[in-house]
Amino acid sequence: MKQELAQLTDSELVDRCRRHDDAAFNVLYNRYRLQLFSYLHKLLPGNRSLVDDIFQQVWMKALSYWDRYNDQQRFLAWLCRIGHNLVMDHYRSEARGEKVELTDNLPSEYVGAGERIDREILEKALGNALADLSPEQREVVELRQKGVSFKEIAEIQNSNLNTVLGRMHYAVNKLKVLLRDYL
Amino acid sequence: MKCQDVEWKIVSGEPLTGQEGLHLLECEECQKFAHAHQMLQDGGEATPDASLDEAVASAWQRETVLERRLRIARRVLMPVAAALLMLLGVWALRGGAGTSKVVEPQVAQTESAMKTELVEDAWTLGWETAEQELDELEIGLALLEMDKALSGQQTSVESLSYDMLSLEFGLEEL
Repeated sequence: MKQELAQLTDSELVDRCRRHDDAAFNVLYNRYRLQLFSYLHKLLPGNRSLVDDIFQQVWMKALSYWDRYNDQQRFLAWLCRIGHNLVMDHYRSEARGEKVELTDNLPSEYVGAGERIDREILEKALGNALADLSPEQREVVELRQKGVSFKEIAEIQNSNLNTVLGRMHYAVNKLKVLLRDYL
Repeated sequence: MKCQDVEWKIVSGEPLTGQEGLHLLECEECQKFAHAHQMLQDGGEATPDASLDEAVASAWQRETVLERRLRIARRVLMPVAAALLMLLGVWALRGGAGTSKVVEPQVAQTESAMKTELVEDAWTLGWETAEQELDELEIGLALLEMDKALSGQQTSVESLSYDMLSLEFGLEEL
């Protein structure tokens, strides 16, 4: 049964979700949870708790507005559009210096969302990016992956904070170039 | 706003300000940088925590349960509402609420008419009774006149008529 559902298109699954099919929702959720989460991470760097909050809100809105999903749209694009609007509301309220509730926004236009990068390609690109880095730069990345703060890394490397941040910035740009076709 | 400013902010790990965030939303290069940074920092694609998956699953359950309850309520309430409407229709056709509203003044009208009729009837009855009493009096007077005539006391027709008129109209008092 689950395998059969996995073969269904997004539109077919959405149609079943409209009829409150739990299994169909699970398939749809698992199909796009990583891509949506990654997309929101990209828009809200350094704000994991807000990413979690908006991720949840996107699904809640999708649940409430199944009927507004157009079969011609790609489901991921629809989800990303909801997410994009919610993030924009957040930044707008930040820009106004206000702390307001996220408003009810629904997707109005199609926006492309990056496909999930194949795990192998990603690991290879990450390996290449790290290999191209100097030992100091690589150490910064590896320590950051372990959750060490920049301040602590600066102390470990006996460098100032800006130098450590510069090494990380360089490493990110290197990976960005290597993954240009996938980002 | 320059891309470099946003990139440095992303690298430092601080949340973006509103203006920086709005720039990021519009700038594809900055989004790519943010994505690359996230992958480098997390060692791959970020994944939602199990607690987040559970939160979404329970939201789905809540939504589904609510919708099911609404559907059941609709199934039960619709026939009840239809039955009530039918009953209301039948009642209206039989002149339920209409009778009480329209006929009420008619009843009042009839009552007042009846009162008028009753007054008229009483007056007519009173008049008829008076006439009957007068007739009886006339008959009594006639009998008295006959008795007088039989006992030898002469009474003229004029005097009898005069007596009658005196009785009926009280001429003597005039």
